[in-house]
Amino acid sequence: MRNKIKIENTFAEAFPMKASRLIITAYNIKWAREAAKSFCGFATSVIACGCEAGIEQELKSDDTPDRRPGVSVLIFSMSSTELQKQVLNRTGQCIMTTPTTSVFSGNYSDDKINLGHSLRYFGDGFQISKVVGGRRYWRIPVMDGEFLCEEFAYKSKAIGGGNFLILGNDTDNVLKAAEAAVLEMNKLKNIILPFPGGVVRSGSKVGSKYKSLIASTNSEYCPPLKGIIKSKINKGVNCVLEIVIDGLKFDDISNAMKIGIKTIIKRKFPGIKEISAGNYGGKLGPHLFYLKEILK
Amino acid sequence: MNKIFLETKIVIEGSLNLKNLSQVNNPDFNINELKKIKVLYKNKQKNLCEIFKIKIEKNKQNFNEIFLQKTNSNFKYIGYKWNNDTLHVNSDIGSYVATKMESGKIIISGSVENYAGAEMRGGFLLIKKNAGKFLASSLPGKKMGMNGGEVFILGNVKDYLCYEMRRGLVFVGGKSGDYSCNNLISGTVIISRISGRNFANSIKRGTIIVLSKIKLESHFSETSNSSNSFLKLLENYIQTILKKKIFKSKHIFLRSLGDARVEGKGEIFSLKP
Repeated sequence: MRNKIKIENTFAEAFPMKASRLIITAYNIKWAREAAKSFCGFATSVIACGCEAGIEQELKSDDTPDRRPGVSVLIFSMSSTELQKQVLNRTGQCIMTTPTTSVFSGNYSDDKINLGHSLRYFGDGFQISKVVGGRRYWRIPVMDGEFLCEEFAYKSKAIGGGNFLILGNDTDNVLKAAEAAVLEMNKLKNIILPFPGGVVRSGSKVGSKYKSLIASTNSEYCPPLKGIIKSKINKGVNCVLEIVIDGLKFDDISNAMKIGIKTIIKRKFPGIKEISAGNYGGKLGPHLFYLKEILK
Repeated sequence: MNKIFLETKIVIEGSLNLKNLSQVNNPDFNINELKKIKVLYKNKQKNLCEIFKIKIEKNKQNFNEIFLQKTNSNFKYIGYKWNNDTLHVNSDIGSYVATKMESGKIIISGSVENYAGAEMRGGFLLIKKNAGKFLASSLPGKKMGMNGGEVFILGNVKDYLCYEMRRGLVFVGGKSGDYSCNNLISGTVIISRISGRNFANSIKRGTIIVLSKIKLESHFSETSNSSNSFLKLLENYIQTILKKKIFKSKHIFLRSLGDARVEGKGEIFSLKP
């Protein structure tokens, strides 16, 4: 128990993913944000979106390659092929289409993802290639001027599915606790919270009674099912929300979980009964985040 | 790898061809053979140790660092086909420095003569003072100029800058002479001032940025400048190399395309008058 909140002796189970970081810049932060939001749209879960993406942080002009305001986004996928497809499609349809934007790679590795290398053909022969500092960029003519795009993005190993559950007496209190945790966690680098507002209410378990579904509702944590099935929800809990974290390294996720949970404990939100985590008995992923170890 | 210090022990009064010094770039090169490298001094073959005092130390890098001291304009072909290693030259040198350079770094504290960086393919060349004719151009009788890499000159350059250049980045902190950027095929050239005649004749493609006001011939047509992000990217990169801003906030660039006489699609950015 910490500040009257029970920390369940369990762990969050996460799995290996591939990730890439892109830096989107624009004439002003509004348009960089618009492009980033569009890029990260419909990217909450690999279950049906193909990828998970989110805004990592906003960048000042001094921190971007072209000294314009920018936003860095992280995108995660289960396979290199899917990541490549998602990065390219989303860059083409969401970033290139946004007024005044440019896009650069925000991480470097030996594994390349085509970016300008493929998008250049939109220039219909009028595209211009430029090598600056050993990196190739493509200048693609568009109706507001030029879309500047680095030739490649890069993919690296990452981890997806770090999580914790907030269990409380009602929606109002649990929502407030989740919002406070998200606010603090969003200040961290190398992680994203891919769900809307950083919070998910439809946590899932692997499989379903319906053979065609790979995931279905996390029935053990559904308050309406208390009494019908073997539930993990104790008396007085009527709302459960989950915060899912994707990160570049184990420590990034572990640290984010720690900050999120500690925020909830420290702020003594009324009605919060318990903090737990989602796992599949260790069968799904090799990365296990034990809550008690994280909070040591 | 090694730190190699070479200091001349005789006064060099005639042409000294140091093309073979680039043998040290070979990863299999036996450092004990350094003193036996053959160089041409006044058209006579000599061992390196007959010209230089040689001192070797270990370094913690995965490339060699070579320090060449007490040089003059008779030193030629320094850094020919240079690869991987870093070469520091502490005074002026002669022609053909870094010709056909492939990678690595060459940093020259003084001035250089003609054909510096000619037919260069990669790497980084920094000249802290002035350069002669045919910088980053083709070698005599050849048609392919600089083909990659970066050249930074903090001072002035003479005629035929970037003649027939194909790829790469050239920055000139001072002014350039006659026939600058003629027959440019591609690449990026940034020049502070153009003082000579016949600038950018017959350019096919490529980008030239002039940090001053210029009057272009009629075969260049003014067009819309919407390359803000690219110019800022370039500026940011050059600022990280030179540690100073090259574009001022009041700079507004005009963009012109040409040379129409050769159906060229090259672009010239120059300051708005």
